[in-house]
Amino acid sequence: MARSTDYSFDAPIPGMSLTAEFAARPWQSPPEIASVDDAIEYYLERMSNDDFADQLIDVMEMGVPVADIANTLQLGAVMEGVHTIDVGILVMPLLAEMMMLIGDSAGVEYDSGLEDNPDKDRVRRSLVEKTLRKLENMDSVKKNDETPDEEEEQETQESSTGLMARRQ
Amino acid sequence: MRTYNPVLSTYKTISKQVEEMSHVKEPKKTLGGLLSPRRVEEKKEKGMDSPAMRVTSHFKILRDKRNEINGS
Repeated sequence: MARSTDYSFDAPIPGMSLTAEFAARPWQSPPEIASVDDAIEYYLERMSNDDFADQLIDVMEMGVPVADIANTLQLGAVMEGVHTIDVGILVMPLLAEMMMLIGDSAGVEYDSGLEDNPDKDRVRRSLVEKTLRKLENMDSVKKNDETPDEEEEQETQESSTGLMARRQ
Repeated sequence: MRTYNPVLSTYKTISKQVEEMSHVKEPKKTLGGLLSPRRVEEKKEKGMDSPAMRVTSHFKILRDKRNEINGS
């Protein structure tokens, strides 16, 4: 039996956000950075650090998509109360581009994770089966086309044996 | 299964904006008086007062640098 990948029991339960005192969480209090410009500066400063670049390259080489890293980075900052979620969303493409720039300058092969459908180039199994079925049908049609010729020949041979048939 | 990642849509939108920006030619600067409010108008025209456009301008710089490295 196929195992379900939907872990709905891991999701927060309704009202869970109200179990802590209001403003007790970092993201419920005013953010440290309020503007996009300051957020850009904050991230660019962090990312220009050599240690960060080394760690990032290691993670990229492991095959983690850049889009996922960017999302995790900004979500972490939101959770720490550095900036709001809307600032994070605005800054995310810049983070992804910066990471790809670091990857390109280091000559690392990475997965951007920005493709619409990553499995687009993979040939679908159903398509292969469909094509095979079509080819089989074409073969059977060809065979059917060939068989009437033989019958026609037989008919012509048979027709020559009639009473009114021309003498050969 | 892949979960939804907001980077995909925002990245695409900003990439499109960058492409559009590269097609638009900048008008030649005309000399004006000292008291002319040209700079403010230029800023407004480019939409630089919106955070998204400011992100786009930063993005464009990084994209150009990447293109330079990749040689395209």
